[in-house]
Amino acid sequence: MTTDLGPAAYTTRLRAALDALGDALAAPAVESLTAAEASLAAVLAEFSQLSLNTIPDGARAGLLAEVSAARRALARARRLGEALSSVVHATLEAQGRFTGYDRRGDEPVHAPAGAFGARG
Amino acid sequence: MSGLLGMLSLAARSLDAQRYGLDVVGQNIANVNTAGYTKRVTELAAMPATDRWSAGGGVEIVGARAMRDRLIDRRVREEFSAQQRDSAVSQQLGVVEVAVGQAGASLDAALDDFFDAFARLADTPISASAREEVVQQGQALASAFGDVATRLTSAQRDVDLQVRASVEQVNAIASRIASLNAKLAGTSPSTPEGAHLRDEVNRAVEELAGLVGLNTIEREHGGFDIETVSGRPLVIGERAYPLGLTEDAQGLAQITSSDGTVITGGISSGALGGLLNVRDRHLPDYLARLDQLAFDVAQGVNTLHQTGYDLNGNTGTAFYAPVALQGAASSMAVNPLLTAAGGGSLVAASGTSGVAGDTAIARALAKLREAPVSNGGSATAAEAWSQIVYRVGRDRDDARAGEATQAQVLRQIQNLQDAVSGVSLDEEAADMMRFQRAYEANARFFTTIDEVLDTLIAMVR
Repeated sequence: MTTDLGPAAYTTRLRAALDALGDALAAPAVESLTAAEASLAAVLAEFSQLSLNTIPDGARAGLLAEVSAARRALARARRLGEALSSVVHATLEAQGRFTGYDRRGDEPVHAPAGAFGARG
Repeated sequence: MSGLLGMLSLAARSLDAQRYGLDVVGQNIANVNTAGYTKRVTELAAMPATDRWSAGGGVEIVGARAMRDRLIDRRVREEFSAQQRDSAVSQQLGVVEVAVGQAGASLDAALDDFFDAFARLADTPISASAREEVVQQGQALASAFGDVATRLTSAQRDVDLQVRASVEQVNAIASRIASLNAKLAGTSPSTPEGAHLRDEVNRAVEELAGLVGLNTIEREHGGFDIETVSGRPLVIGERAYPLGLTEDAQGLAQITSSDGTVITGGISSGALGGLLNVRDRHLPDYLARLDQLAFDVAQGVNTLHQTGYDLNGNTGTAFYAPVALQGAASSMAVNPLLTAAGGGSLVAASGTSGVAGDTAIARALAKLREAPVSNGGSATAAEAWSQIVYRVGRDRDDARAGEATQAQVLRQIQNLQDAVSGVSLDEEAADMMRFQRAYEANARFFTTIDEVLDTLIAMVR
């Protein structure tokens, strides 16, 4: 299946998956975020089967443009993801909850009940 | 205070509380479109029981307080600074994009005309007009380099003027915030006037964050102490610390803190950060690449030309006057010996002394168009110019994309708050965690994607 398409076509798919992730983060929509994960995993699996030894001369300009676009889409997803994380952390910390895991990988440790309801 | 009187008093306090709550809601609705207005929330507190036989004292109003999550406000300000930086970069690079012109219609057209003139000379090596045309096209090419260099330098000066104006704006807003801090210090934050002043100072701080990246510390009564991201004070309490301006050797404005220290390099966000980025990083980079190209072309032409022979059988002289790498584009000029009357005869078209019909050097100079003379021997002159044009376009596209992303981040934060508001704290926490986990599941691919894109870029170049 992967031999029919060149690197530029796969890069276009990668960019589309990253754009979808960015849109899901911007909304933000948790179901779309979950769907984006499956798309990214599928596209990366395709890349792993692609032979990246040579690029035909005529395809270089198109590929360069697609890679640039994919990089911008990745940067966008990263920025939106960082912002989402910071809001989540700020909200949870304001509620006296921790967002990390303990040594055993258990769920976040909760602060004493008295710490809740201190919002405002 | 149990008994009938106590119960009536309790009911009256409850009614007062609810009526006050409705007033606050009305105020929020009336100001739904007011820029910078912060939604007020009515805070009710349970009154303790006054004796052992009473269940409690009902509720009382603690006060209407601006509902601001300070951490998120700070984040919003950071994002706004970043957005304004990218907006300034995008706007200024739009001007630069016009200055360099489109590929195929600017410097590369002059390069083509120059090499075409040598090709025509190879067809008619003793034609005086063909020789004059080579000199003229050589001058036109030097002028084209000079014009682009002038436009880039002019763009740098224009940005510099905007830097100076932005510093004045920063000082004016800092002074306004200091004044608002003074007013807030004497006003209770729970009064309507206090809330209004807090909105005003928040708006001013946001405006300031749009100009320059800030660290803020909220004061007890709702005002702000403000410093630049690099830690230089702008406002402390009721006093503003204005930024100053000095000039470097090129006559470009350098920004100083109130104690005279130059802090230009420490300003990287806000519109001012964007302007400085274009003035001190992008434009010098483009100018350096243009200089390198002009230098390479002049060197390549001179090297070949000096191996040939002119119409009089003499060894060829330098076609272009010697030029240093720095400033090559603006100082490039044809050797005055060739531009003088009859100078066309000094064009070295022949590869053999005394054989005017030999056109080996004219042909070689025409073929220089296809030779990798630039970027350390990896690109033709036209390709090197295209790369400069592409770089300007790519930098602008990056800035535009960054600006759009920052705007989305600002909306995202608002949407995220709206999505989880109105539910219990436990539900809010659970929703937030779902978003976070879903994002983290995607983020684990980012390093791999980086590697894939790096591999592709390495193959294309």
